[in-house]
Amino acid sequence: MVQLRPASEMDAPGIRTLVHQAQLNPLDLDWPRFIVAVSPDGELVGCGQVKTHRDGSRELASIVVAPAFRNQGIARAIIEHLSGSHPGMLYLTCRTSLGSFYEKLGYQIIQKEEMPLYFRRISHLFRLMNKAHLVGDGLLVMRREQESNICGLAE
Amino acid sequence: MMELNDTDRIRYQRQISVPGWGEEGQARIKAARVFIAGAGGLGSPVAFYLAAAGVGEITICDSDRVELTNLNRQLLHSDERIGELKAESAAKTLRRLNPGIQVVPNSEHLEGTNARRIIGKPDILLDCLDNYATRYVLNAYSIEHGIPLVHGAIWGWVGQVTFLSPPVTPCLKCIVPTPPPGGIFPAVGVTPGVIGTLQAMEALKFLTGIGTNLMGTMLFFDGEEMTFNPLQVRRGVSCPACGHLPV
Repeated sequence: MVQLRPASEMDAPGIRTLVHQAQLNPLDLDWPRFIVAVSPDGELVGCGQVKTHRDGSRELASIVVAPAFRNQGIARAIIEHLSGSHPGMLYLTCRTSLGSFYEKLGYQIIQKEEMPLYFRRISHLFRLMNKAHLVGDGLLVMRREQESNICGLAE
Repeated sequence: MMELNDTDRIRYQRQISVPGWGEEGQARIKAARVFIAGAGGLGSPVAFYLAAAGVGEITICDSDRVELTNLNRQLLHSDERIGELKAESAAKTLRRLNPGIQVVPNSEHLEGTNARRIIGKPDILLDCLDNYATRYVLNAYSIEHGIPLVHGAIWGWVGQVTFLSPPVTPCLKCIVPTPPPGGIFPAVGVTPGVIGTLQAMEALKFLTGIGTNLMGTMLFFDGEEMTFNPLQVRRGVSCPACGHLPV
């Protein structure tokens, strides 16, 4: 059974490889922010993190599961674990085709006017890459609004 | 180092007087050899400006012939050149622009098997191509021989430019790992004009050693909204093209 645990320094190369193979954002992959999914024989098969941007917004990011381990609920487990351990408002970006998956997990698509600066910029750059035909799919920015369950304080 | 003659000193006076350029910078330009892959929309401004700047030897490679549909953007060519090989047409135009430089046209289709013979050992490569299959050939050559590559591409109103010199920067495959859909693409003539001009600027800075190149940065231009947006780009750790190079 695949298990989740906080990443250690030794996981850093594996995280980078997973993220690169999934063609996700290769920046800001500091291992202390990550949790990893590990197979019974110790293989790193998935990862995810929550990172904080300069504008203060927090992003659920770098969610990857190795192809051979997909459709087993691992991504959902990583997302739920990270969402649970980071109460309050969380943002994410994903390809248009993944929108319905994240909607089931409580995230909603937001428009440009509602986006923090970082996501407005990413959204704009992605639209440019789309316009330049470097990427074939659109990008969604989504947000989960959840009251903090720590001390009853909303972020 | 190439010696400048009196004509050079007059012809290139306005750039020699640019702070940091001087006769030394101009001598470097005169001694430089560049390889321009593509004599189309991007290759036109690149070749025009590098020739005008006095780059000593310009090889321009394109296997296509001039067509009427090229003429909204490919300013190296004109109506009377329709049907001619683009590389030959480009060489005629460039020699007329600047008789003091060497222009070497090549009308072969660039492939992995002939790249070494066609490209040789220039100081810099300029990607002015219209397809990613050949771009990846040029990228592989750049990595294998350690020659910097200035990538440029356009689609409609939009284009991008970056300076690639792995392992210091990503390679093209790190940034665009799978080729975007090919085929005939729309092109506002000015878009390759803008991007190609920036490519030429990148090459001149590299050749003279002045300024900062777009290393680790892909600059996107959107003519429709008139914006320039830099995007930070990084090496792919397991890039099939440059992953073997040291981190």
